[in-house]
Order: sequence, then C-alpha cells, then structure tokens
Amino acid sequence: MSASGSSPTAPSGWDPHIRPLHFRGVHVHHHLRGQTRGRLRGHLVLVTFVVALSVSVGIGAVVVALVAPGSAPLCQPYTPCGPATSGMGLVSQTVWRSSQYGFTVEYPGSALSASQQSGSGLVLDLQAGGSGGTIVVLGAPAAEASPAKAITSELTKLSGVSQLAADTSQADRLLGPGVGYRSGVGGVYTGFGDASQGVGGEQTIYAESATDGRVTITVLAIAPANDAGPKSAIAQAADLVINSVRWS
Amino acid sequence: MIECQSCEGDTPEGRFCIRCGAPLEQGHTGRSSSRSPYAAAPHEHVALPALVSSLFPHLPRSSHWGFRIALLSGAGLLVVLAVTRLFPVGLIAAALLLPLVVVLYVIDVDVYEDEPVWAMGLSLAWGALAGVGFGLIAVAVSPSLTSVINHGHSQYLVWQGLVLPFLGLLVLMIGPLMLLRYHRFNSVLDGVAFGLSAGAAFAGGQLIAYSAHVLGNGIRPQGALVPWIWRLLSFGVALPIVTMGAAAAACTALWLRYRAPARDAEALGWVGHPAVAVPLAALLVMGASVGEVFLPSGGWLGWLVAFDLVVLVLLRRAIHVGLLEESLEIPIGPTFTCANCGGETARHTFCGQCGISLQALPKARSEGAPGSAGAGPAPTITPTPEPGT
Repeated sequence: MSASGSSPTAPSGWDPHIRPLHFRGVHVHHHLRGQTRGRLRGHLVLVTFVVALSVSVGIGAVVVALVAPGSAPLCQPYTPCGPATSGMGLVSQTVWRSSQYGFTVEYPGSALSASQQSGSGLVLDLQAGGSGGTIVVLGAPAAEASPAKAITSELTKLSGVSQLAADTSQADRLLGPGVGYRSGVGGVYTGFGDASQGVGGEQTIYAESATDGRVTITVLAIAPANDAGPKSAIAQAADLVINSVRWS
Repeated sequence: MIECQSCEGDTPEGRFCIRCGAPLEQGHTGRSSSRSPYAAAPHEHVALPALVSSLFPHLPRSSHWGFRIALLSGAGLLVVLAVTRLFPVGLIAAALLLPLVVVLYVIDVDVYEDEPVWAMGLSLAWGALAGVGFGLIAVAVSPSLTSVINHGHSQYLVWQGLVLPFLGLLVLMIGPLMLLRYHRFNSVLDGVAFGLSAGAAFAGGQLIAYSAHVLGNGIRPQGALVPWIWRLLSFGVALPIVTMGAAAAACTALWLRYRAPARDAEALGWVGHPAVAVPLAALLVMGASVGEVFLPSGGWLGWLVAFDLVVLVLLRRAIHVGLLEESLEIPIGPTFTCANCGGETARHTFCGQCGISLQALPKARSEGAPGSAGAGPAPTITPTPEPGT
C-alpha cells in the first residue's frame, strides 16, 4: 500500500490542483520497497507464530475445559438415578410385515411414523415431545451377512455422519444385545454431522443385530447426542421395536 | 543503457528490464507478462502452484522458509491434537492457523506501514463477521440426520454444498470492495492482501460458529481418529487456502482493472472482468465445498488439495500479470541492493538482476531505516489515466 499524502508531480499541461476523475496510480512510497527483507526475520516469524498460536490454542483449551459437561454421578443401588424415564403410553400398535423375509415389526403409531418402506425393511421417525430420532430396521439373507457384518455394513452406508467410532463409555454400553428375543451383537456409536462449513452436531447410534440362520435383522436407532441416553425416548422406542420383532 | 525489446524503454544492462520486467538476455520479445519467471518470486515458474509465494507474494525469497515451516508446523499441530483426541482444541487451532499466518505476513512485510491499520482490520473483521454469520446460517438450515436418511443428500447439496459457499464468497468480497474506492490502496498486491485476510478470517469464523456445539462436548469427545485428522487438515489448511486464494484472485482482477497503475488494465482478458472474476471465484469455493457431500473425509481432503492447486495457479497468474502490467511512469533512480537476490540494481519497477517486482517486496519503515540507505529521494510520479476516460 502506498500513501497519497503528498502531491505527486503532475505531467506538463496538467493542473496540479485538479485531480482526474479516476486517479489511479500514486506510488509515493514505492521507493521504500525492495531494500529490506521484512520486519520479522525468519526466526522471529517462527517465534512469534509459535507463541501466538500456543497462547490462542491454550486459551481455547481452557475455555473448552470450563464449558465441558461434568461427569454423571455414579448410580447407587435402590435410589433414583439419572434422568426420568421417558414415558410412552400404552397404545395400539401398528404392524409392518417384510414382504421379502416375512418378519414382522410392531411400533406405536402415535410416536413413530414410517417414512420409508421396502420389502426388506423400514425407517421409522420418532417425534416424542421435543426429542427426535430415527429407527432403521433392515433384513438381509443370513448367508450374506452375519450380525456383526450387517452392523458394520449399515454403519458404513449411513450418510450425513462422519468420524464414527464406538462409544467406549461403560455407562452407555448395551447389555445383552439382541433382536426379537434372539441373542445377537450390538454396540453404541458416536459420530458428528457432515458439512463443509464445520463439524456438525454429535450423533448417537444404537445398533443391534441378530439372526435365525435364515435372515439377519439389524436395527439402528439414531438421535442427536443430547436426545440420546439409556432412558431417552429414542432408546425406549428402539427397545419397543426390537422386542416386537417376530421372525415369522 | 540499452533499449528493451518489450517496452522499448531505456534500461541498464542486466538480466531484466527494470521498467517492464522483460528478460533481456534470452532475446525475449512481446509483452513482459509472457515471461516464465514468476514476477513475485522469479526463482519459481509462474505456473508452479507454490503455496507461500502465491499466497504471500510480498515475501522475499529468504523469508519463504520461515512461513513454510510455520504452515507445516501448524498442520503438524493439527495432526498431533487429533492423535491425542483433543478434537475441540484442534478445531480452535484449525480456525486460527491461517488467520494468524496472514497477520504475521502483514506485519512482516509491512503491508500497511504508516497507513491506518483499519484497512487490514476491516478486512479481517469483515471476513470474521461474515464467516460467523454464514456459520450460524449453515447451522440453522442444516438438515437433521433423520432428514438425510429419509431424503438423501439433496438438502445438504443445495445449502451446504452450493448456496452457502457461493453466497459466502460474494459476501466476504464486500469487505475488500469497500477498500477498492480508496486511491491509496493502488497496487494489485493491496487487493491480494485484502482478499487473503478476508478469506482467512471468513474460513476461521465460519468453522468456529458452525462447530461451536462440539466445543461444549468436553475436551476429549468420542470419535474416530483418522477421519478427525482429515477433517482438521481440511478445515484448518485446505479449505481456507481455497477461500483465500479465490478471494485474492478476484481482488487481483478488480484492483488491476480499477486501481493499479497498469499499462493495460484489461491484461487478464475476460477472466479479469468483475462480472466474471467474482462469480468464478465463488464457483471455485462452491466446487471445493460440494465434494464434502459425496466424499469421505480423506477423499474430501484430496479433493480440496486439487482445488488448492487450481486456485493457486489462477492466483499466481493473476498476480504475475498484474505486477508485470504495473509499470511505474517514473525516472530511473539510484542503484541499491535488492532484498530478494542481493544484487545491485537501479531503482525503478523491477530488479534488473532477478526480475522481481519491487512492489512484491517488504517495505522499509522509512528512508533512514536500516537497510534503506541509498534509497534516494522519492521519485516523481505520473498518474496513469483510467482506460476509456
């Protein structure tokens, strides 16, 4: 950048007091360029960079630590613990049958609505109070997919979420996973929403799968992390759906 | 003195014409902008997508390594923070990395010197505010995962991939455009500096605003390690480079056309027309962003690197043409030692030994400052009339 503080010498025939409408170049200070290698020599650039980045990141780390949620207190036997269980009234169930594999699923139509259906499965949307979520029920030939493989396959296909990893927290562990009263495999996973603007909201995914030797049924229950948890509406609804599965 | 075959002006014997920058030794004919050594770093080819000399054209060759190490160590820090699972801290570092390097660059080369700091402050502040605004809009229009499962990527594609990146660049350009009206900011490199600073601040502001809720998830939230590494490198380095480069290239075209003392303000051709340059820059940012919708984390990083290379080549070409068209209408001054090559050259627009544009070198604090001895008096200036006026 160059200052325009002093008057440039005008060419002959040019009135120095009248500037042209589009007066473009006035490199009054251009003669100061080209002789110096910069105010910060190489080592000072690095020192300043390291100090500034360390201080900024350090302040950021302190802020993150301060706003971090505290760890939940451990539950004691015979005393109320954790958030209240999300109630789901007794309602008449809607029955859905897989035309491809013959298994049936029942779900409370007042809280869950089928947004997608195919011969092999369906997608249920949860709207219970202020919390939302999605339950995916999918069947596949047992010869093609074991329960563990089916979960991995469905998680890989899940769009809109990345950085997916198993939730290693003991408090969130699924105990005795299974589908339709058949033992199987399962786990809790966390991931983050995708976007080119940044890292989106944290998502919790409960996954359970089991097989009867003919068909493998996989159920995924997906909700934003702040709508998930052992006593959340999505977990309750997923339990209802998983236990309602009849293998035909 | 000999006559330059390119500009037909008198120039001292040497390797380059000090008036137009055309090579003198190789029988160069035609416009000086057709030469292959990059005007802001003549030791590099103009088509080489080198990061430091493209994004920070004011730096002399001896300062390149410092900024290279700073960028590399910043990227290394992002990887370390991801490996140690300090993901929220990594996001903060990713948002601050390039804005910090840009501020260091501005201070090092004394872009504003005795000019008001408000100009660079305005670029940075506008970029950051626009970035925060677009980050919040992106949060508001972001579809839920349920919606993505049910309706596919269409809503993501339209808003996160196309509309917001395109509009984001147009809005961030308002900051530099506010400075275009000031005659004191009259070099294409002024435009580059404003575009870079606004672009870096925009990318950082947007990242923090969109990811704010992740910062509240604790210092070490759950998450897969490798995708986090790719994401931090994408958000901290690769995506900001696309935004900065695209904004700077658009600013270069605008400054060359409307502000710089160029011999030919239309030297960039139709690509330099504002009606083409600004939407083209926005399209590049949009193209870089849309890859995120379809690709996994690692694939998107590779996609961004490809866009980085394209943007850097475009920016470099625009700076090169802009600097070589910026021939000053001034008499030849006394000889001095070039800060880039250390050779003796007569003062004018280019160094006669290495061919660097003297506009693309740091500014001394004053004529009496160390390193500026022998600068001689300020030469007289002749304004270049606006084309078509």
